[in-house]
Amino acid sequence: MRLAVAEALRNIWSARVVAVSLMLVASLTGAAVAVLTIAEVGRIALVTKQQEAAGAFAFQVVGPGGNRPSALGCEAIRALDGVVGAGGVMQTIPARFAIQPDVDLRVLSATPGFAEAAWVDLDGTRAAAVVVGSEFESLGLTRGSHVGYIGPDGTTKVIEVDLVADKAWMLGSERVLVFAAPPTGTVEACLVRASPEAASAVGDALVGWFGEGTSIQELLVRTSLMSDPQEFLSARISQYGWIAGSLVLAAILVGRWAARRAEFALYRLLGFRERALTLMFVVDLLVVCFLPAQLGATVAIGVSSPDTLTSSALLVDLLRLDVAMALIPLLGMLIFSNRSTIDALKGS
Amino acid sequence: MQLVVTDLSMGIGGRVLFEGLDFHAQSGEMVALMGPSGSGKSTLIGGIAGQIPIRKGLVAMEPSEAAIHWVFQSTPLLGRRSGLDNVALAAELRGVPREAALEDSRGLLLNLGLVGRLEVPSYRLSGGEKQRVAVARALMSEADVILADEPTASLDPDSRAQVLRGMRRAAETGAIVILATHDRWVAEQCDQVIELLAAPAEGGQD
Repeated sequence: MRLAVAEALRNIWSARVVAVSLMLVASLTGAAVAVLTIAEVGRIALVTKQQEAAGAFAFQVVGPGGNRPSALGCEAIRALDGVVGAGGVMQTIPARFAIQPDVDLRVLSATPGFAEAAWVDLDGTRAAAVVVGSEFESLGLTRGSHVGYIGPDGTTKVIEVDLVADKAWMLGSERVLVFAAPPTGTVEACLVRASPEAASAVGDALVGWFGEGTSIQELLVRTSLMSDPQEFLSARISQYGWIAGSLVLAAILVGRWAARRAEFALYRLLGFRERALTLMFVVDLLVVCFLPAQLGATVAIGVSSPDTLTSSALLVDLLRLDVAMALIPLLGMLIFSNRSTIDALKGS
Repeated sequence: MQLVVTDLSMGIGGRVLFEGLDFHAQSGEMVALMGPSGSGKSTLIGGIAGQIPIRKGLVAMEPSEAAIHWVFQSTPLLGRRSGLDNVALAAELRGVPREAALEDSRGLLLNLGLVGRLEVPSYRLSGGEKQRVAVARALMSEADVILADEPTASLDPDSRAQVLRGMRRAAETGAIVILATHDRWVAEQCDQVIELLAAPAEGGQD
C-alpha cells in the first residue's frame, strides 16, 4: 500500500506542470462553489437584517382594555421560543441636559430587556446599564461618560453611559436616554422582538400570554421587505453549486485517468491489486482536486468573512461537494473494470 | 520450475487454431513459438497465462504458484517516468527498498546498453530502447515465467540482439522464457522451437 501511495505521488511529480494546472482549476472550482453560496446567502442575510432593522418582526403589546401590562410578565416573554428581546418602559421622565438646559431629552426607566428589544444590534439584557442613541454622539457622549440631566422637579442627576448604540428603530430621532431598572409595576407597553422565522408563532403566543382582549400591534412593518428567509434559503441556486463543482472535478479526474488507462493496466499487470489501484486514485484525487478545492474554498471564505447564516449554508454545501468528490475514485474503478488488462495494454 | 503443456487445443470463437499441442519447458529454457499470422501464437501465450480459456488439454506449472511477467511487441511503460523508474518499480514490488532498487536497475539498464538514457522520460526513448527497458523490468521482476509476444518485431538488428541477450539473462537466472516470434534468427537463439501451423480458416488472433 505504501508503494501505491509513493507511485501515485511520483506520477504526479513526473507530470507536475499538468498537475499544477489541474490543481489551479480545482481550487478555482472550490472557490466558485464557496463564493456562489457566500454571495447568495449573504444577500438573504442582508434582507433578513433589513427586515429586523425595520422592526418587521416586532410587536407592541397593550393589555386588555388598554391597561398597562405587568413589567415582570413582559420581561418573562423572553423565555418564549423565537423571542429575541422583550421589555418595556416603566416611566418616561421629560428632562433637560444639565450642561445645555435648552436641549430637551426623554429619560426612560425601562426593564432590563428593553434595550435588547429596541436595538437590533444588542445581545442580552442590560441590568442597570444606560444606553443612549447615536444622536448623542454629537454631544461628545461615549461609553463611560457621565451625563447630567435636570428632571421635572428641577433636581440634577448624573448617570454613567454604558453604551452608545446605533439609532434605535422604535425610538426615532429623539434624544432618549434609557436606563435599566428592576422590573416592578407595569410598563407603558410591552415591546417584543422576534426572530424572523418565528415571528408568526410568537405573535400567536402573545395572545395566550397576556389573555383575551390583548392588543397586539405589529410595529414598523415594511411589507416590501417582508419575506421568509427560510423560503429564500430553500430556493437558493447556490445549493446546487456542489453538483456543478463535483461534475467539473469528476471530469478532470476521469479524463486524466482515462488518458492513462494503459498505465493503470500496466500497474495491474505488474501485480497491483484493486485496492492498491483504488488507493492510487484516492491519492490522485486528494492531491490534484480535493486539497486544492478545499484551499480555494478556504481562501474565498477567509476573504469574505461570512456571517453565521452564510457559514452554516457553506458548511452544508462544501460537505456535499466533499462527499461527491469522495465517490469519484469509485467512478475510476468502474471505468477500468470494463476492460481486460491485456486488451488495455495492447490497445495502448 | 517446470511448464507442461499436454494435448492442448485452443481457438477463437468457433474456429480451432491448434489441437493436440504437447511440449514442456523447465527453468533456464527459452522456448520460441513460431508460425504464420493467425496460427495461434498469441492465443497460446494467453492460454499459458490463464487469460484465454483453453478448449481441451492441460497447462500445468510446477510449482503451481508461478509469477508471470509479460513483454509485448510495444510494451507499455509508465510514459512520463524514466526507464530507471520503470525498472525499479518491479524490484520495489518484490519489497526491495527504493534506493537499492534504483541501484540494481541502473546496473541492469547499463548492461543492456542504455548508457546516458536512464533518466530520460520513457516516452522519449526509441522503440528498441523501450523494449530493452521492458526486458530489464521483466528481469528485475524475477518472474518464474516470462511471456514475450513478438518482443523484437520492428527492432533494428542491434536492438534485437540486446533484447535477446536480456531474455537469455532472464533464463539464466531461472525463468522459463516463452517467446512468440516470426523471426527465424530469434528462434535459433532459443533452446526449443514450437512450430504452429496455419489455422484452417482465414483470420484469427495473432
